[in-house]
Amino acid sequence: MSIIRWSQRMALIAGVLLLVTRAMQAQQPDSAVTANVLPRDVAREVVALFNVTRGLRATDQVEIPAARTVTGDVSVLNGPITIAGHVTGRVLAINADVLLRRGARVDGDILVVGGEVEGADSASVGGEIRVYHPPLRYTQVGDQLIAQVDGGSDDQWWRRFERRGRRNFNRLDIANAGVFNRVEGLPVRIGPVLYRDQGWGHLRFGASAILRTASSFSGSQPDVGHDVQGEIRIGREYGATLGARLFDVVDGVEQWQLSNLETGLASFIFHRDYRDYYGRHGGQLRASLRATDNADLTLSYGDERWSSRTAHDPFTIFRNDLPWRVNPRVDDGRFHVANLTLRVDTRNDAFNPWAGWYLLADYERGTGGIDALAPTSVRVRVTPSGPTRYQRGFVDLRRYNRLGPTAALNLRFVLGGWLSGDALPLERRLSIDGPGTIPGFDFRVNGGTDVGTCAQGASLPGRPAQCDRISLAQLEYRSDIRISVSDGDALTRRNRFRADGAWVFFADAGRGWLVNGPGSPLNYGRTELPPLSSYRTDLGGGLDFDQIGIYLAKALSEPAEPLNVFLRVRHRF
Amino acid sequence: MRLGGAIALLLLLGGPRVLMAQRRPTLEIVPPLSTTIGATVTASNLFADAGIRDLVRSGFPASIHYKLELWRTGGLFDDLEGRSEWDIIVQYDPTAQRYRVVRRQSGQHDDLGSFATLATAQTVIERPWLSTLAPERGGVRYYYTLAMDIEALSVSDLDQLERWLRGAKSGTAASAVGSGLRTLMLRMLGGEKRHYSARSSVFTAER
Repeated sequence: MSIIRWSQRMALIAGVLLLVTRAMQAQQPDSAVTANVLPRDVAREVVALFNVTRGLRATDQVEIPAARTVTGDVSVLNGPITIAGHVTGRVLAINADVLLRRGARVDGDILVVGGEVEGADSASVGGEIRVYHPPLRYTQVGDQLIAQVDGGSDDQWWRRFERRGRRNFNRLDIANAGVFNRVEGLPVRIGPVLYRDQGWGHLRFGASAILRTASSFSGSQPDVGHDVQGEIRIGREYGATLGARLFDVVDGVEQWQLSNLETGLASFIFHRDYRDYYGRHGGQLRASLRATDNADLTLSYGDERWSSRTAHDPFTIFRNDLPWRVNPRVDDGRFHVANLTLRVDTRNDAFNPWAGWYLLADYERGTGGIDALAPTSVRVRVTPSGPTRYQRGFVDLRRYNRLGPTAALNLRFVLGGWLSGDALPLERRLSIDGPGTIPGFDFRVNGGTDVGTCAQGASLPGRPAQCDRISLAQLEYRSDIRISVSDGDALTRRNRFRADGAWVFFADAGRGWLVNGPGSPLNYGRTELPPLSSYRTDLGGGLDFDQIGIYLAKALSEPAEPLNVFLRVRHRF
Repeated sequence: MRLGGAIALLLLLGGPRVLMAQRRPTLEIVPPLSTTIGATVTASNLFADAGIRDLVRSGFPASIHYKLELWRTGGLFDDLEGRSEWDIIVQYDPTAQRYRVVRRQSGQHDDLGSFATLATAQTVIERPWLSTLAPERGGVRYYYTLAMDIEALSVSDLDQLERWLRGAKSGTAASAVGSGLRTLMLRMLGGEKRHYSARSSVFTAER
């Protein structure tokens, strides 16, 4: 009941805001006035056509009676031109109207500048009719016209159109604040956003309350977060960004495996949540250097309190009656986290890359105090609660290679984990598990000694990622495919269905291991790598139709694993 | 994601594809014969998709983004030798009752004019376009790839809300729910954007 009342209130507020916004916009005078200027292309085109006309060319009014046929083009300057007869070519009218009598026939195009066409409905025109209302400004040298064109003014309609994305605004934002997940349901961000374009860059400020559909409306303990952000951006293509943020949000433990979109869709549609989540409450400062949209270096520092969150029971489209996987406990405490992150992207296309590099490298230094250690599998770590200090690194390197017009060979390497200091808190541990890494293995189901999550012995609730380090290699061969279904015979053949995409073959290998778990069979020295024979491997293939792909994957290193079918939105990597 | 759900999702997303397949935009690239000129690019049936066409007719600006790439065949891998991008923006001006068209490339704008009907505007947009992206080396094998994205730009939530309040959407409640679900999924997967691509034949440019 309270939800209904709340939604009614929100609808009312949204309606009022909509009206107020529109009213404010209506009161703002639009200083830009569309210029009544002939496009330069058109001016040049009509002048060129006029100058080369070989049929009938006139600089005064012209009438073509019904019985007359003009062979070739007709060009008239300062007309008008009246046509009742037949023109076998094109009709060009400059600063003149064209009047077509009933039964008039023009085999070619009619191009009018600075005039109008009348009677087109009752005449026969073989080509297209183009009409430009602004007159042509010209000079005449002999029998030749020369167009007077200028550079155009700044008040053209498309310039206003282009400024739309950058113009200043103050608005109320209602948007999702993260992925749909089993802890929050859908997190919804509601709050004002202020944006000011300063020419040299921009200022942006936003303050939002975060409502969670799975927990914010419970009567006993409403769960509402917040996210307040300010940002100064200097420069457009190159430059720097300074930002500050205060937040109380729910974040994913490992966000590198699947995109937010895939994670949210899998949760909302199939009741399968491939991430674990924890609460982050605190503040952060950051500074970025940016070189185009393809490279940036960001330094950030945060003072945050991390806490465990429990799963709720948000609605899903399928399998809604099944229980969710437990959201594992994490280490509760306060942390000071500094990150240095480099991103370089030379791919020719971010969504459909055929060539180039993508690098994401992150170094993190964390200090703080753990108030409550989360349970882990035996011999995963030997760390008492209290002060802690760690360093962690993560590198995601991808190379895209075009083998030919229709084929590509893509590679990806991911390395990450503990570098030095105390053992990593659970929030910073990693895994190689699930459709984003080695899809031939089921997500979070392996028992015993598991090189995917570094669990051993009895399973922990939710089977959290516990590895100190991980490595992953992915290889993918893609080749274009066109699927077409048609019917009819050779003359009447008609496409019923057509889809362009790619078929994909892939192979993956990877695993996780421990470096701070002496006595564990999953533990290796700090300068050691596990033997390749211990890696999880799989092979697979599928069809990728740009937006969505369907794949099959089979585990090689553990042949007893069943064949897996899975979907990916856009490319695997 | 399991097989049953996967098929359901594919069907949901595949529905619009099947409809579009009957008459969809086509792209053609004619490679140049020499290194002095670029390829000629022609797009046709640009507004074959009823959704985009209706949005443009309703006054929502549409952006058609072209990305032409020139690839040089190499030893093991092919090399991207150059890239050329341009946009065409179409918007219906209800006060003048005309469709305005502008081409934008490398910060330069060319106003292609305004037209009484979308069909006429489409004719102008679909004229062959001679690109300046020309091969650098003679006697080397090349090919072009072309990607085109058509997007109705102003379909924000606010706009949709306004259209809904105006009663612009017709149809039954069931069709509205179906349309809404499909729109939701499409927007989650890439918005009101339609993507098309084409590739030229492999050619050898003469000096």
